Amino acid sequence: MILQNRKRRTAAITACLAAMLTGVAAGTSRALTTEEVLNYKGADREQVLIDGAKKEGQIVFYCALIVTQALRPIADGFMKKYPFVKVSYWRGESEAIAQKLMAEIKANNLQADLVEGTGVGEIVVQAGQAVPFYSPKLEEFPTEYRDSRGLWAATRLSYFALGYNTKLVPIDKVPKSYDDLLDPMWKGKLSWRIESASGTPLFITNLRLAWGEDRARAYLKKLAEQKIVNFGSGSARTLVDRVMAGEYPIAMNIFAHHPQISKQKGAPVDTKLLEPTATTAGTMVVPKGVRHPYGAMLLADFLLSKDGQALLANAEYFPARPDVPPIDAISHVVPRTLGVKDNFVSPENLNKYTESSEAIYQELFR
Amino acid sequence: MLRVQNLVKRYQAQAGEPAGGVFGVSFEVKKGEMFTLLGPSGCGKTTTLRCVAGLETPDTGVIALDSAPMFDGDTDLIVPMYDRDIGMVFQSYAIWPHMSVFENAAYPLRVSRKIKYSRADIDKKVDRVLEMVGLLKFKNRSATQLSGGQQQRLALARALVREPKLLLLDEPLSNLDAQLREQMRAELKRIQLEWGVTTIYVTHDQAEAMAISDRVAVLDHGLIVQIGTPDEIYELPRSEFVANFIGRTNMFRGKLDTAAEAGGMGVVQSEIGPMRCKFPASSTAGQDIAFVVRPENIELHPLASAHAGQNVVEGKVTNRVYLGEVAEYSIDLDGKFQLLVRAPPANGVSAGDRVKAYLPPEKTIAIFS
Amino acid sequence: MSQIASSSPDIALAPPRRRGPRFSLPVIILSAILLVLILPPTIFLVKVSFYTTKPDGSFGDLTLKYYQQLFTGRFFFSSLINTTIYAIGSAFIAILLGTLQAIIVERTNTPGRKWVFLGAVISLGIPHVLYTVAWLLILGRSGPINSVIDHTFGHQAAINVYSMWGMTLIEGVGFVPLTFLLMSSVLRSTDASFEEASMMSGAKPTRTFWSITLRMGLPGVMALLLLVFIRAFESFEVPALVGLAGNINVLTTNIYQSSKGTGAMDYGQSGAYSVCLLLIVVGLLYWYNRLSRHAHQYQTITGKGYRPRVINLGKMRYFTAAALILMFMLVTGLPLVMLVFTSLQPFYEGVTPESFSRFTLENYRVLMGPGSFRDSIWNTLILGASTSTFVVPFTALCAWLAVRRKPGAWVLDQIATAPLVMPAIVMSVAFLYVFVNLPIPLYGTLLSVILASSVRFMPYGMRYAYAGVLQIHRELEDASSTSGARQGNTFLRIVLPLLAAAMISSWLFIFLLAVQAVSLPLLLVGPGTEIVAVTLFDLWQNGQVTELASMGITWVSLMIVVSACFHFVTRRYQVMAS
Repeated sequence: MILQNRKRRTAAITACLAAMLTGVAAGTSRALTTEEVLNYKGADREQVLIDGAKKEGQIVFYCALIVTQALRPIADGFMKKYPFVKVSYWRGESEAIAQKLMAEIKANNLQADLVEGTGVGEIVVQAGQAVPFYSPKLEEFPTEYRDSRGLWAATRLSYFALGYNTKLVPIDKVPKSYDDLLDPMWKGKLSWRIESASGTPLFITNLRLAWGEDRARAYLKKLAEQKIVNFGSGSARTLVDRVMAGEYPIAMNIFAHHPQISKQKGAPVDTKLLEPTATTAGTMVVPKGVRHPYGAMLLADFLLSKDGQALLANAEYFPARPDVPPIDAISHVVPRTLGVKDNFVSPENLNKYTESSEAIYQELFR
Repeated sequence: MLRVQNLVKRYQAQAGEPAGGVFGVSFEVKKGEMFTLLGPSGCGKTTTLRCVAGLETPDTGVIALDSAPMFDGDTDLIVPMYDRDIGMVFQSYAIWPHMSVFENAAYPLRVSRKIKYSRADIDKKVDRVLEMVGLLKFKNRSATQLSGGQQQRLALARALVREPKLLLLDEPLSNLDAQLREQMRAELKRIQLEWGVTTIYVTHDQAEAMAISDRVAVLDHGLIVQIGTPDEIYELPRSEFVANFIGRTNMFRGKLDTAAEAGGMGVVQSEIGPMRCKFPASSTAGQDIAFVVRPENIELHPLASAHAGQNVVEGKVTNRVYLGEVAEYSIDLDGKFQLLVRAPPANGVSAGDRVKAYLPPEKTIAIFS
Repeated sequence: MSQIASSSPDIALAPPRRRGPRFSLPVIILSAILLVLILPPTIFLVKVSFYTTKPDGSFGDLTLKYYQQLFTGRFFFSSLINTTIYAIGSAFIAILLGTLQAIIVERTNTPGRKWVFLGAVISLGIPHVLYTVAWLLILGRSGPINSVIDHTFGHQAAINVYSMWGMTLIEGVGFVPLTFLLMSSVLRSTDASFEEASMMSGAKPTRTFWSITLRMGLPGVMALLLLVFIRAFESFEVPALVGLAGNINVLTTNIYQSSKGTGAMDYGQSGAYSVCLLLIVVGLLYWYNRLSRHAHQYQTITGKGYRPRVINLGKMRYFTAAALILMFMLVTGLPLVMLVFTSLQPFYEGVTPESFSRFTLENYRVLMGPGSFRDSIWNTLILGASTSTFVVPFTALCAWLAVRRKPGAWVLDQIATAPLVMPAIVMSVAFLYVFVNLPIPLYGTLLSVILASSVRFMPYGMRYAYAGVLQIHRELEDASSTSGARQGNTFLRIVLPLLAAAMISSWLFIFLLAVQAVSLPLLLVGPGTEIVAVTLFDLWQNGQVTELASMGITWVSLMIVVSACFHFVTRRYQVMAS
């Protein structure tokens, strides 16, 4: 795969060079290939993209962001900046996006130009349906938040932590480490979400990656004694609501910022980060056969820019861009500001380990 | 007018239910005639009617209306029911509850495709037919607000409104009480005569059939056993079944002495002695014969009377039921046979008496047993 | 007057027809439409169960492993037993309460009985997941009932809703509106004389109900049993939300749990399960169709004019009114009050004394803000109305042909009922593949969603219509035919109007379900076509329960308005049919 990509990249560079040469020779700007557009590094990048996007007129964005808070403001912000491009978006969870996208690709009826989500990126990459792209904004991101092959780029981060009911869990009893969770006093009082890859599998994967298989397994075996409530259908947010309502004193592996948002309103709930804190990223990818490459790149640049990332921050997401802080209400659950060590579970690792972590869950916790 | 020939319609037998249907029914109905299909339930009369209506597709046979074929089993020709120009009244009346009285009656005109009726035409025709059945003043009522008799009239009005060639009545009176039934029967007859519409009437009630019909076909087990005027059917039954089904009768068995011609007389050596009988059909000597005699045709005489000789039997009156105009006597003929006699009540015969009974040869009808 | 008969115009008859083929033309056309609509998802379902699914969603090797896993899994037997208890229990609750309501409403002079319809509409208007959530809030550890017990008796969390009875109760109660609507349309069109005859024979009202009313309404009751029972076997939301948290597995949640880890897009096991259910349904339907052989037993709409029987209860009617109110509270009132309460809270922390000082309209403000479901409401109403308007007459026609035993028409019922057992997600993926591959540009359009959701709700329409047609006395149609009407005319002018009561219930039912469906439209709708399902989904995934509740309340209010309009429009027919 990598070899192939390298070959492809060499080919692309050669093509670029050739294009530049012929372009100079002819003295006119000829149409770029899709591959060239996606990897255009010239200083006139924005102008080239704008010119191309004007001709395209529209782009289609498949995205897992909440519509009202994030997706629509981003689309609106983008269209305000580039009024000649009409952005139409489709919202679904990662799995649904992947499903739809794969169906479109196989039917040779691709609609999406840019795809964003937490799990979808890696599925598309694994299926060999992502194409490399470049954005100058990525230079400002840590290397772990972008793919060395250029196939994906992180847009936002998620931190996973304990959420607990402050009325049911006295401040001095709040578990401060994973080992504290093994205290018999929590037997039957812990809950976690078994539904998605970001539920139980992530919890397990995080420990396996951070501690190694043996230590993780020994710990999980003990944890299984605690008779954890397997919270079924319903989102992580729903689980936090249950904790607030006093159904369960503690929820493990929920999104760290959810309790904070409710705490602001006075709800009896709080977040506790455990070390190592699992961190994942939402990513974006460009599908093979993209119809509007100029527009797609324009939107990618926008999403990764300070403006775009600020819009994400406003929607209570953690921007992947280091120089855009999250909103105050949730800023103090960022591991590095608290001095807590985080463990970035890359999209590759998340995908690779999910199945085996799920098997561990099936074996120990059902 | 209507010709039905060798009509066969078999139903597959289902567990617990006998196989019904008709197995070769033929008859003709003359123009303006009231023709009745009479028989016990399951005899095939309703099946025949539904085949004529087109509601059932026969297996084989021919149905022709005014010499135009409606169904021909040989050529697989079927005229769909809606093209047959037939009106039908159902046992349950089948009045549509979602329509008014007027709309129920107007329906056949509204769905007509052969002729497009104007609004005025429809109003006129429906009013006329409703008036005839006496429902004009209810025309705007909901059909569900009608009484049973009124619904029956409405069903008739609906069947007649487009002046069909043929009117089919499927036990139309069976859901009415006795008094209303008689009244409606008369009215049916009146309307039928007034409109001169050829009618096939289906019933299991022989009195009704006798009262209303020009001709009657008696069905049994999917076959027509006799066709004739009510008088013929009553007076000259051609089979045990007909004799028993139509009114009450006495029946005895025996052997024929000497050959008898059709319409002639013959002597039967029977279980109650030699009897001179009328033979509607010719018979050969030695044939097994049964004969029937209606209770009201038998004369009763005191034992001491001089009445003797042919066609007289002796017995003891075991029971006498007084019915007003007549009395019914049960007579025990030497312990083996019973004779039912209907005679004037004032003849001085009472229970316990021994009597002589005379079976008039003209009224003692031979049938093949 | 013999000239009248002879004056009847002697116009050439339509050309006589030859004896028809074994399948009549309308049956062939309808079957073709049905097959085009339903075969693709069915084939997909079967394929999913027999082929491995690769991570990119394409099919891999032929395998029997999903069936093997299904039957040999660790939890198969316990799940099977749980499922059976759950299905029987919830079917029992739903049919008992629904039928009771229907009897009181249709057969007594209980004051305020007509309001039960409103109650049914309200419950159906609450999106199903929200309904479940509402019940969890009521019965939950911090819910009002447990609080009261805690305060009076000092038992903490005395009631544990995350249990078998909790699941069964919530599922059963959720189906009450369906059973009520179906039973009341059955009762409404049953001629009083049948019951009167029984009463006159000396049978007590209860006896009459058991041996006459229920017996005559058997097709309706059976249809209900079939629907509720199969739905319970197939239901996922309640077992997942309620059962899983109490470690009670039914077959669906068991499959869900054991297949979730094997790959994101692998529906193999749930496909295998659905295929098994499909076979069971085919068997049940075969048996159910035998009912129509004895159709005459159920023909309660006769040509003799029917009027439903209304029993004057005297003083007892206050008692039945109380029973209605009680049932209304159970089925609709409590969940609704709970949702209203929750929607007015900044966050939900149980029904505590403090919570009453925290009422706020903030959730509604957010909901009504720009870019919320305001924009998507029209698309959603179009989706619901089109789905119902297509399904109801279509299934009426299919059911009529099937009940009247038109050659080959039994096929229609079988095909139209197949979608009942298909999980929404499998169906949506199947339709995704169908539409995305079509040469005509249907993919992503609202029309494609309408088609898919028509298929999804076809079985419900079919059951309503089938039970309805069975009640129509054959002679009512024969009378039309002998009046000179063609089959089509008979259907339009006689059958449809007589079916009005059943069809109106069916329309409303399908409409209310179609507008709140989430997973099916979500995957099929294209970019730019906004529907409420997306908002609902977003709130479900990321919203707080208080926001979700406010959405539910707003939605229910809207549904009441829509249903009221609908009721107003169809009032004429309802009066006519009763």
